[in-house]
Amino acid sequence: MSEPRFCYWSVTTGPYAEMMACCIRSARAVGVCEEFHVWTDRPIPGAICHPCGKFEFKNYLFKFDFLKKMRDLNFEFFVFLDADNYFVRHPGDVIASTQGAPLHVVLESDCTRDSNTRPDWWGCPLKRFVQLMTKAGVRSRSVFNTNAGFWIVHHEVIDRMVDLALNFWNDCHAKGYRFTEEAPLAYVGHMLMGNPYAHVLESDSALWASDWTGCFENRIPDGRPWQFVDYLDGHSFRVDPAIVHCMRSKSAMLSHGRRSSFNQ
Amino acid sequence: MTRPLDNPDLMRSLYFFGWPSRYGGADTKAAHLLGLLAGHLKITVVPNFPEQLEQSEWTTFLDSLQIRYTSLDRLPGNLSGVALALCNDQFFVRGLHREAIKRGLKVIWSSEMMWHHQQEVQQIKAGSVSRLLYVSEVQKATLNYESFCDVPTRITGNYIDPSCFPFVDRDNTRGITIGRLSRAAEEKYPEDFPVFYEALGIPDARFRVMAWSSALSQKYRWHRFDQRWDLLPVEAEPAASFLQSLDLFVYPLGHQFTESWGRSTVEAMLTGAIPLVPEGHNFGELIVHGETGFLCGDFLEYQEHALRLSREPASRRKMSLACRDHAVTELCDTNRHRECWLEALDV
Repeated sequence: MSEPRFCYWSVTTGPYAEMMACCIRSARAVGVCEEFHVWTDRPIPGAICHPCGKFEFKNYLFKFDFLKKMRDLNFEFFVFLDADNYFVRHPGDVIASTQGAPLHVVLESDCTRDSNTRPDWWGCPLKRFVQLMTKAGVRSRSVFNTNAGFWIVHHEVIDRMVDLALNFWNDCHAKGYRFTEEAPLAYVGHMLMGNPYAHVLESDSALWASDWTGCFENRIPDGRPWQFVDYLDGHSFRVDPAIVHCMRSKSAMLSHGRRSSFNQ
Repeated sequence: MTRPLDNPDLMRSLYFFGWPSRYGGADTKAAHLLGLLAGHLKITVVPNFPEQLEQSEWTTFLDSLQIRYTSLDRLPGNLSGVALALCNDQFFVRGLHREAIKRGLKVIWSSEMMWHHQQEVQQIKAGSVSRLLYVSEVQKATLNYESFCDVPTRITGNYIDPSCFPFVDRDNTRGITIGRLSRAAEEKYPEDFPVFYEALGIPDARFRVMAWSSALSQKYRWHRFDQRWDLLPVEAEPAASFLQSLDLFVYPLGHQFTESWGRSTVEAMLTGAIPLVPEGHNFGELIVHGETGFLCGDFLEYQEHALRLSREPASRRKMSLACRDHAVTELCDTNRHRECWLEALDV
């Protein structure tokens, strides 16, 4: 059986396009050969660019709209990356992280724990979020949140995934909760991944993790591990991912991106 | 005193509007119910379509039970007794209920599903129905006829003739077989169905599903079904032999679907397949958790129980026998079911 074919993809405009250039350059530097398809308003070195046109940024739901456009491309899987991701080493077999599921969403914090110190996620009380997920069909004792900076989707599940995600978002909206794309992404992860626990960051962070606490603040990640702090209950554990979502390193990535733009 | 059984002329009459089948909960229920009541009621089966009377498999079956069958247009104009319809979509839509009432029959209706059929509520409100049947408390809570009418109701459950699903000892020398049998309705399958089975992580497991369809293949087109999978079309094998081939009947359901009773689960138990089913639905009435299967609220619970059973053939056999015993004595007791039905049909 042939290896699954995949590409990376993203949606970036304005200065984020330069961060994307930095991301792609980091991937090439560690030997990543797959294509990067980017919906954008300007050329990005190293990327296959698709005109994004005007779109609605609100709540980041545009990711689902552009995902549907990706169906026209002949890949088995699509690996989404926010522009502020940085490859510190080759990620190996990226698609293996799906573990046979049509989707891989990195689940982060368990919203059902008594140890949680934050009371809410995106303004929704955790208990209420768990209720919303359960009512919508999630059947696990633990209900996790996610960071939407990296996820993988099989070509043939895109329509169903987007339908499920937007139905969930709309249902929550009708009940007074205005989520970003992260809540529906967490929802479809629980619904489509078979064993959601196998996709929890703490059980496997070799591929991707988000530096949301800013261990690499204002600098490019250097490939060293760090202590990941759980967003909801504050406990920490060691992560050492190949792809770092360097949310707090945007300025460093911008200057790196500009350099790469000039050097290409 | 002469008992009805000794004298058919003293028996009450039942006109069953529908036709038995080997596929789908309600029609398979019909076959077993007719067997249960034959000899206790004077039964006439009236199919929706006259051509069904040419299905020799079923006419032979009905002949063997001394049950009469005829088309609607050949029913006499004056009758007494009751007209029973189970989950018969045509019954109200095509006005079959009117034909029954016109002839003097009292209508008894059972939806069997978790929803009202087309024109069901309208006809109940119009006074066309004399008695309403539920299959379970779960269904009762959802359909809740009491909220809009005062037609008397009964819970009649679901009868399965245990002799149709013989127990077999499983072969413990090979990896276990996991599977399910249900209508090929997409909503009965969870979004992640194939990966759910595979993620259980049971070494050397085989997966068998019967009543698979092209629509299900389309739904799960993202999945590569490998040599472990055996996806059988409807009635590819007799239901009993299919269920006898399973060690574990693992039955996750679609998130918008509620099982009103769980007929295939009990059929599986009768053959000795151990059910692992979701919490909720009607399963708590069918399974003694930990003794005759497992009610699972989380993937990890399915996995824990399935893995343990796969590793412990002795525990598996013990539970398999307990499933059969519980299904025969508690769920499929012939006298108890017949008594219940005869009372419910006495309008």
